[in-house]
Amino acid sequence: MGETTLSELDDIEALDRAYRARLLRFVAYSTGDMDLAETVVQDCLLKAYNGRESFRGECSVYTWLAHIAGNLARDHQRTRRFQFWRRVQKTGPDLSELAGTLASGESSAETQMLARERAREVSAALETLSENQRSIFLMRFVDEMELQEICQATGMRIATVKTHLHRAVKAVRLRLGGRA
Amino acid sequence: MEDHREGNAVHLSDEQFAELLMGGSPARVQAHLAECAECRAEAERVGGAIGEFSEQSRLWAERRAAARAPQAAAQTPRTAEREPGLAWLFRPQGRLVRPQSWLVRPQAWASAALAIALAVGIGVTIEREHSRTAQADAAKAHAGVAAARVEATTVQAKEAKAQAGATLVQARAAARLEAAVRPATLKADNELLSAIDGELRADESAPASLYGLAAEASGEGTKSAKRTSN
Repeated sequence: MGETTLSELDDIEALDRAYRARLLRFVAYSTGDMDLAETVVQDCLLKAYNGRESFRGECSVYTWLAHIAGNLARDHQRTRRFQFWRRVQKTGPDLSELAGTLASGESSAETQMLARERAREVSAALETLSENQRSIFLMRFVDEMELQEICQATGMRIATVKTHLHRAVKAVRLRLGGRA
Repeated sequence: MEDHREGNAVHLSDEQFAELLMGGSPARVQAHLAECAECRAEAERVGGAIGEFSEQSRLWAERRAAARAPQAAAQTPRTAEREPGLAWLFRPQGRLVRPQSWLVRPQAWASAALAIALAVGIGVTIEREHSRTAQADAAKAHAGVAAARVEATTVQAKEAKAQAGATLVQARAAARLEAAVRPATLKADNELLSAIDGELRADESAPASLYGLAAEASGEGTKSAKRTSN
């Protein structure tokens, strides 16, 4: 762990600025619950800041944060007693919010619409996956983490991680009209 | 890892496809893609869709985080002033605030519910114990009252019995007295009445004497007495 990482962890505002959006995306799409994602990310950043002494630098800061966030999300989901209440309140990420932000001067409106449609198909495919498959898919294809980093973040063996990834990719392919 | 066969064509297997999307592209897979337009099209379609999803979700998350930042900055001084204990969260190098109040946090609700349940449970237990004790006391008191009532009833019964006995004795005595007194009383009463009648007859004034006819009557009476005596 270099000095940059140490100072990054010592400055909670910098930590928040650098990782909040990335963590929010990971937790929101992993759990499908926006409110829960906000809570988990907040708790994760506070926990990381308070426990920065325990960070040994054996992985990247984001891998460490993803590990904390994953554990917190599982704890939150496990301890949620009032599932019926959460089900009513549950609000997942809505990609349609981005209709106006997909600024691409080169692509036509039709191309943008098709791109959004394909992204929605991927999002819909993710909903059919198990929690582990979804988290690992997001770490690999959205956060672009290496397999070794995913193993560190999830605590799984590499063979297990690969199995989850293969199943997730197959589900997405089928959703997008691939061969069965 | 085996190729996927579809009719006469041989396509990439699921594992090969996953490896390809994950960035691993062995020469054999690359060679197949160069020859198979179908697998190439599918790889481009799936890879492109995942890329679109990644990009859109990144933009979405950045916008969410950016929308939260001014709100957090605006809340910072007020929150720090209101809750001095949290001032450490708002040091210049750390301006992190909790986005949700405790009211919408499930742990807080769970803790509050647990506290309420404990309070209610303890209250109910105490109340039950209290009511059990009170019930026991009430039962004891009730039993005491019942015993007292039974005793009183017994006493009343005894008194009533005694009264009944006394009444019976009185009645018997009266009856005996009446039986003993009645003939003598009647006799005395009859005698008294007879005596009174006799005196009344003797003192009774005749109407003739009231109108001056008493001499004649007495003369005649004398004559008649004389005659009777002659």
